[in-house]
Amino acid sequence: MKNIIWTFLLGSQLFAYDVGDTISPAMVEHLGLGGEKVYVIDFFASWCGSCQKEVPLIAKANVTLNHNEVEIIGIDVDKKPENAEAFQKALQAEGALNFRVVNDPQNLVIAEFNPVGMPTLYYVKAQKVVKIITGAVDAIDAQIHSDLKKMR
Amino acid sequence: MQLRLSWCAATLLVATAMQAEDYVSVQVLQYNENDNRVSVTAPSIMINKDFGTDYTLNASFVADAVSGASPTYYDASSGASAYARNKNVNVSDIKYDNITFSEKRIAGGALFTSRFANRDELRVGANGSSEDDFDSGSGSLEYMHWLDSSKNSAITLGGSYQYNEITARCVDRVGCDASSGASEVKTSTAINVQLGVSHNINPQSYVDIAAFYIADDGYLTDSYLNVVRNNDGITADVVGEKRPDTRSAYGGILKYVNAITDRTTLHLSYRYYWDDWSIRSHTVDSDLYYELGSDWTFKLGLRNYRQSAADFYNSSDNFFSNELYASSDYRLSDFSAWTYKSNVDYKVTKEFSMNLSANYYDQTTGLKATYFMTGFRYNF
Amino acid sequence: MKTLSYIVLLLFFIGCAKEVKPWEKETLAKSTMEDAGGNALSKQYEEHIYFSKEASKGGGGVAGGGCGCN
Repeated sequence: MKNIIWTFLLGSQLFAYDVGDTISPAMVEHLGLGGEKVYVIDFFASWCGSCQKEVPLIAKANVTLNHNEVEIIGIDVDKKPENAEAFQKALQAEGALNFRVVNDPQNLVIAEFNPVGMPTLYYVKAQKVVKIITGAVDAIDAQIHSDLKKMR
Repeated sequence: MQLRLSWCAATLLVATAMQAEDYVSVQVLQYNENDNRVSVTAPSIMINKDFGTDYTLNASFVADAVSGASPTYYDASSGASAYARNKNVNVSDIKYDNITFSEKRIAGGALFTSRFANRDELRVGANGSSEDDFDSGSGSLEYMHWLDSSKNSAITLGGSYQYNEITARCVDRVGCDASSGASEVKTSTAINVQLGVSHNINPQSYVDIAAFYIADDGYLTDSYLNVVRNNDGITADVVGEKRPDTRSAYGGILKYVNAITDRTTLHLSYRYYWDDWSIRSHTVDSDLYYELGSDWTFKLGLRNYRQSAADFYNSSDNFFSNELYASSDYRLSDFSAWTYKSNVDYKVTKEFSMNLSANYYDQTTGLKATYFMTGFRYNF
Repeated sequence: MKTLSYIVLLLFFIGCAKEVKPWEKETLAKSTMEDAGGNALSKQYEEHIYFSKEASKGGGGVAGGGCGCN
């Protein structure tokens, strides 16, 4: 069933999650978005220059978050698993990756969200998209804190 | 869910990934022509620095030492100067040969890029260069606008203005004795406008297409070069060349880049150029990159250039009489040229890479040059 | 000029046919896809050499970048 939905979405490539949209049950299950928390989903890749800058800042923001209320989930969209692994290892070595990462080598997850740029952050609450930030943002860590404050 | 339209209908622009890095790169050029004509040693440095995600500064600096000779006609009977010009010179004393010179040049430039919320870019640039007999300054302004929300197409409009001061050996001034080294300061300006569109065709390839216009105005003559006029078989006048004071040039360039395989990337480009000096040219350029493992990148390149002659050009010492414009500069002749290019790039660490490039340039005018470039790049 | 508008029109339709998604740009982001393989200084040298030895110029953008080519 999951595959059918994804194939449909991938095939059409016309749909995208916008603010207010409900995440498909299959995706909620796949990413584990079923809880009461606010989920901050960050799409990144090893080859994306501004993602390399943004991931460490998101990790920095994650340090002071209340993990009962918020969970950050990274989606690594690298097609080559070895690139994803090397990138995440390098980040971990620098203490710049302290959240759960879902690898998306077939780009099924990102195709369903269908953002217009990378990196992209989605805030999801009660399976609904609350806010989207697309593109590199200076001081994304401060931005995350202030966004979450408003969502409480 | 929202329906997303592709770029033909999209109006909303949102930010995306951009490729910007902080780096220092250093290159040294060693250029040598055949027959010991011109030899150039030129070190250069470039620094690229991001300030947050919205601003990037790129600055570069180059110094070069040029020594050698360039060919022209001269009066061999005059002991005064290698550039000797004289009226009524015995034809047997007129020689066409290399005249030696040496000069030093320093040049620098800075380009500041500013990105807006929609990730459009405004680029402001300034350049300057100085050598013994030539000083130049220019400013440029360029705006890049994304045409689609997925950032696959962009249009760029740019313009630049350049001001040059040339210390010219006096050529056409009455009573000016060139052999004594007398000179005067001349000026010229250049305006360059370019409009380009770039488009990602698919995840492996893109095209760039651009049209440009360049208007030169002022002193465009090379005051070191001579022509022979009024050759009656016995005597002739060896005088300075003279070019028009304006030049309008137009052109178009098409670039196509395709990653043929995971490791192989092909660059192809074609440029057509024409100006009101009757020069038309075709430039076809190709480069093939091959990545071996994750550390080595090899490049092989081939470039072909051909141009038609300027309408006031003639190489002969028995052609010009009282024409307003006359030049025997081989660079304004009808010729073609091949460049054979190679480069190897080695990634020593993730941040540090080194390169070595060997190249050969072969003009049908007889000019042949070998040039090497080597240096490093450090990402910080 | 006519040819140019045809090419632009063609590009437009290619663009409509299938857009490259942001997550499909790994290859496009490679340095070997950039001008001169990302080596801007070597490109400046080569442009300066051609400028000094040939009668044509233009097409390389307006920003220059330390070349000082007039």
